[in-house]
Amino acid sequence: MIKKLGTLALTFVLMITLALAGCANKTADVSTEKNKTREDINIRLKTNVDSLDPQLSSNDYSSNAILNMYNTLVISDSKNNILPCLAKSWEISDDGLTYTFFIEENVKFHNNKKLTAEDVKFTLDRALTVPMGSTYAFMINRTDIINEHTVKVTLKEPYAPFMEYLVLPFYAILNKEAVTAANGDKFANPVGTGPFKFVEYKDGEYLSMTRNDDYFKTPAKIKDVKFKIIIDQTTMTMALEKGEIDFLEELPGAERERFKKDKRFEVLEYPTNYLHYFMLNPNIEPLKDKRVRQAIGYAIDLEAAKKVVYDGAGEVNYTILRSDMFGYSDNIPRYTYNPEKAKELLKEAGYANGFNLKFVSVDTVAGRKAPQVMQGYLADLGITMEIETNEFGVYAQKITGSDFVISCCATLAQNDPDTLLYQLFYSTEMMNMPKYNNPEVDKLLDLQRKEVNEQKRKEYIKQIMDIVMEDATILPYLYREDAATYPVSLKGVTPKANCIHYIYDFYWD
Amino acid sequence: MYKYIIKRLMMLIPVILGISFIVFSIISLTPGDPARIILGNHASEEAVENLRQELGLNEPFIKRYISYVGSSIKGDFGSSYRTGKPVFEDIFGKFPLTLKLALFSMLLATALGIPIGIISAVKRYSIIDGASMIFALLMTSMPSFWIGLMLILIFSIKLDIFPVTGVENIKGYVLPTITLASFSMAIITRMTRSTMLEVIRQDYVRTARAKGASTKRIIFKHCIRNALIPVVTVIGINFGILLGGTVITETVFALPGLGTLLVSAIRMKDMPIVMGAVIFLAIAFSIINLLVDLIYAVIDPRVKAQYSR
Repeated sequence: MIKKLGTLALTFVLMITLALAGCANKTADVSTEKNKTREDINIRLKTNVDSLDPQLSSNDYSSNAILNMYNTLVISDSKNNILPCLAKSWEISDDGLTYTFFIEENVKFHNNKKLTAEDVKFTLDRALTVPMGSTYAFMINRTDIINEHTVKVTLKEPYAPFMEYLVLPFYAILNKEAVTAANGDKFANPVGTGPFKFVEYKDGEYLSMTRNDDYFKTPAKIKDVKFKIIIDQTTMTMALEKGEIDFLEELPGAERERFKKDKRFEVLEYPTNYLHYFMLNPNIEPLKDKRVRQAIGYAIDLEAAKKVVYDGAGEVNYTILRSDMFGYSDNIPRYTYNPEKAKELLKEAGYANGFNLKFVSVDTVAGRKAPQVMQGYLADLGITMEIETNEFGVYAQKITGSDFVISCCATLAQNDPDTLLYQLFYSTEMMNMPKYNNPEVDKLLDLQRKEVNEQKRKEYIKQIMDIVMEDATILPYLYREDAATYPVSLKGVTPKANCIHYIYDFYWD
Repeated sequence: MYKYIIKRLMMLIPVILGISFIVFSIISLTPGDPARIILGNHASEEAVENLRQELGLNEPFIKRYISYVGSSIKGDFGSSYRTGKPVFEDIFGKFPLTLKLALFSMLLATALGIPIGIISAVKRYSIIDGASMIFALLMTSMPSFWIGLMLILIFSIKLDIFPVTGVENIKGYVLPTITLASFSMAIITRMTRSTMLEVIRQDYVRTARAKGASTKRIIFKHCIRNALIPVVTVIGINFGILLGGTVITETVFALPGLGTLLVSAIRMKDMPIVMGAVIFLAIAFSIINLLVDLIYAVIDPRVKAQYSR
């Protein structure tokens, strides 16, 4: 009796679920006429805001969002060309050491104070003193005020990618008075010059902004901006379908096909400058032998791995540099999938029967999947890999302390390769987490940085690439590809490789 | 009675000291450096070291614990490492939502669970009994994130009745409340049914029947009161759990509650917030338990007599 009833009840529940899920077709309207006249936008934000002061933020998602309330001296277009913003023009000295910026004259901060060279100097000086300064402002020597609307920045040595740095939220121009008054409070009301003004931030809920009608260019077309903090990916896609959010910058690979077929939405895939890579620690046995590191490089089929880890999204990379970056050449050595060669190298190194090692990973989707894929490939070589998945805090402590045999990481590259190569390979750099130490590479890195002759610099970079690829402490994996997703009636979305979205450009039509 | 309440409240002190010490040790002794988490991978070792110094993380563990207890007795629970705001500003900012959700879902669970349980017990082995027990089994077996997602899929996406996220109006509470209530409701139903069945078999019920009391009178006058004591305990415990443990539901519906605050603070190793939230929840939990004990007295005069002794 009970059993029969059970079957009946279960069938009943399933039928109701299916009926409701299947038949009812009153789907949310997200792309109708009413969207065309809208002046507001809701954007998904992946994390809490970690600071409303862009120089104190260490989270790219958070700082990219708050950048909409600020301006930088220059901005970049989707091809990463540098365009004027607060600096209407600039001059670079022939020796590449001094940059003179001519600043727009009629710019007002949200507190009605005029923007002057004083604020620019204040921003750049402060950049040197904040914790992130050593990463973003290491090249600056000093900043001088020439007159009320002109500043001169002197670098320690010529540094080609300097302008690319100025685009980043870290260099958003701050109001001297407001920041001094805030006295290090990361959540003091932000005062920028940007197209949107701060309204409210509620931790775990939203960050809202409203249009700055006194903007120094044409005011934005969007009036009210709300960044809604939604961490869960499934909730995020459902909120998009329901029309509760209008824009998300990262649609997971597995969801892309579905949204591409949905005529209500635009799925705009774009390559980013975020490089994901594996790190092999050359100071710990058995990876001390470079043949073992090379073997690991040959052992993994990156294309196949990409399908599993990122559902096929992204651009697999073998050379650290991307083909459109300065200094890239087809002759850079690389590790393509070749299990035979891998076995041979292991045999030469005396590990024909494999060995044991541990992968230190982080608890994210990719952080869980990537080591599993690698585990399978390494098992083919007889290598037994144990995976240790850590929460972010433990992972960060381990990798920054070089406390791993093999691990993974990601970083934002610039179009100019200098930063990336410096960070990954210079002996004293923080981001050189495997603690790779090669005086020859250090010397070449310094040489290419100072070199003004492009041809010569290319040669230096080629030499660096030959050595570091041979030494294989960093195995590149892929450049992440993001997919901005939004209703078709939202226009003006022009993704940038650095993943900064300027809502100023957005409008409904 | 008042003596009893005061005695119970005094017992809070060792409980909270114990809890705070355990939590403090777990957070301090497990790996992960709050300064590194706050500043990220890119910050230099020097900057991280400075921040550690500033947050007082370089002091020995016991010294830090003692100074924490010292200042919290004076009412200073410190400020969040992450936001720099006083701990209780953050906690009280999140608590109303969590409290509302817990209250609503316990009301729903109780309002449905107890009657269903009683009917099941009275009409044992009937179709209603079978159906409600299977329903209860389903509700306890389905993970809450799945229930939440299904509810969103059906009622937000397909039928467009309730919002996916946010609690700007009362509509936003409906789906999270149902999601949260499902598990407690199932437990309450099963609990009510089994205790009712036990009570129905008691001698005094047979006596009542023998002297000719109506079934209605027997159920409402004689059985329910006696059957409710264990149910009230379950309701109390479930309510306490809901106050601190609605993380999954909060994540699915993107709600900024206390559970999410606590979990993200644990991830960030944001010690002051973790400590503040845990102490706060421990107090809330103890008070709820105390209330439950007091409700016993209302339901059962025998218990009341014990308290006043």
